[in-house]
Amino acid sequence: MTDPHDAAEVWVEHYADRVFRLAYALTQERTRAEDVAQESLYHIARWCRYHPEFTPTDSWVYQVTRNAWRDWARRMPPSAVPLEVHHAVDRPEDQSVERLDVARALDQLSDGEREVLIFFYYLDLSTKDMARTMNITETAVRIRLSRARKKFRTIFEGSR
Amino acid sequence: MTPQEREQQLSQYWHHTLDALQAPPALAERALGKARRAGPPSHTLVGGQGFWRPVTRAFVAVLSVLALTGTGFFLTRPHSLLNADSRTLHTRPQLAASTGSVAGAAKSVKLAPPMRLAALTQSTGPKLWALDYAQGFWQLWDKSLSGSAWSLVRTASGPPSVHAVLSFSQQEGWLVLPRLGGGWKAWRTRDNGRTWRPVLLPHAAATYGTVVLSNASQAVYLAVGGRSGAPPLLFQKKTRGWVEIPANRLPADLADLRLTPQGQGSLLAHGSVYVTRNGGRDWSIQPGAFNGVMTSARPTALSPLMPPTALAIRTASLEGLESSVRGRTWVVVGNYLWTTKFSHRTWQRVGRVPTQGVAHGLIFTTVKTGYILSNVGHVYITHDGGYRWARYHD
Repeated sequence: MTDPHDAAEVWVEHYADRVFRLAYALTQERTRAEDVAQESLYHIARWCRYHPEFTPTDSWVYQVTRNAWRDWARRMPPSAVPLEVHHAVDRPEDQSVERLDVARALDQLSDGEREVLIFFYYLDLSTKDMARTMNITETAVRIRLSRARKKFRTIFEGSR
Repeated sequence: MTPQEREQQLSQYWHHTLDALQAPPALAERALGKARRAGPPSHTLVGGQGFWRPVTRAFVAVLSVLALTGTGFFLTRPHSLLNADSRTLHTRPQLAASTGSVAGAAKSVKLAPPMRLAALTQSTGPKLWALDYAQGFWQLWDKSLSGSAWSLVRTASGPPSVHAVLSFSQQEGWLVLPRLGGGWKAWRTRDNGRTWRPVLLPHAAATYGTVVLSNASQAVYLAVGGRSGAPPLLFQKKTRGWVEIPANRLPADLADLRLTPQGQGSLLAHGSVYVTRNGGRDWSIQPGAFNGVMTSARPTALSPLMPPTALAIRTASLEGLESSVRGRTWVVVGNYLWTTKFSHRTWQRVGRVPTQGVAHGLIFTTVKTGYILSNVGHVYITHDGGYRWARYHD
């Protein structure tokens, strides 16, 4: 039988980067991403440690990360706030007009709208997986995705 | 651009931004250590896998039907029940994109103002606002007029610049900061700084090195300049976006702008004052504007005097900077500091200000102690009412 400590370590190591990237995409700031990722990995490690028979799936890990992000956002007071997100395109070597335009357009979206775009365009989740991850129906996912796309298009085209 | 191209750009953006990121090694170690110390989880993490989720949903659905038909008073919060189990359908606070938060309480510092100041201004409350730059970040501070400590309320990344804008008109404030690699980014608040929302600036502004903004009485104007070989541009904020105003003889070296909804305004550039009376379409230099301040019984262009306590107004008028405390007022005009007591009928020239070029801020906290902000971000302090100045915290 697998040592539960080893199992937790294996899964945490396996998912650490992916969780951190998703947390970064959701929070858009490194320090905040580290907070959210650590909380997510803690939940994953704790669950795997006491349920060694459980095999984490990608969508389950994404869902844990998403929940940790939302819990984190809810707990924070509305003061002492970073004004902006720290896009990687803020680095001069990453500078390109297209990426700047994308970054600016994404800045204008709400958390929920950005979230569906991340799940769809970065994680390449199907609407079915997104529905499971976000705990809503597939129809609701399609509606959210359509609205987010439309808003992104409006802002993106308007900024060019 | 076709939808496919646009979506491809979005996908490429995420992969370019995120694929190279790696979790810090300490992150996993800390998570594992915390998990070792914790006991077994007492709940399902995400609403159950397989069996429990549909059971939970069915249970909640039954309760909802009962509640809708008035069968039981305790069955009226199906979502709360679902929340308790799944932890995913909680009502999220309506946070704007810019209203996340950094961990920990707002920092406070004694002694005003914060270092490397870029701007000082005042909003209703009354409240003082300061913008400074430290260690790669812009920091927005506030404090009540009567308070002694500044609170750090917002941060933003970006390169340093003496052209950053922080402007308040009653409850509405604007913040314009430089973007690394060129261009500007802006935020607006309409609730006295409680929430800040990002605002798109005119696309043309990205190529200009200087930005000035006026938001007097809900009329917001933006002028950009400082680009060799290109004329400065003037924009007005409308509900549908920024509208360019064809401006005649708009100077390029912009320092400050003030335009009223009635179309009257003035602009500080090249150390001179330019005025307009037709909404910014035509500008003309105003000779002797500085002298006019000093000879009038009361400088009408200066902002109304505030209660007898410290205040700071960043170029509240284009004629100079004003600070008042206990009935005494100081004004920086050109390179000189002037002072007057109560009546404003007589003005005394205190001496030259220590800044080279245009001063960007003036604040007296007592009748003896005052600070002045240079246009390159240096802060000077005086302990004798403005006669002698020394660099503050080099």
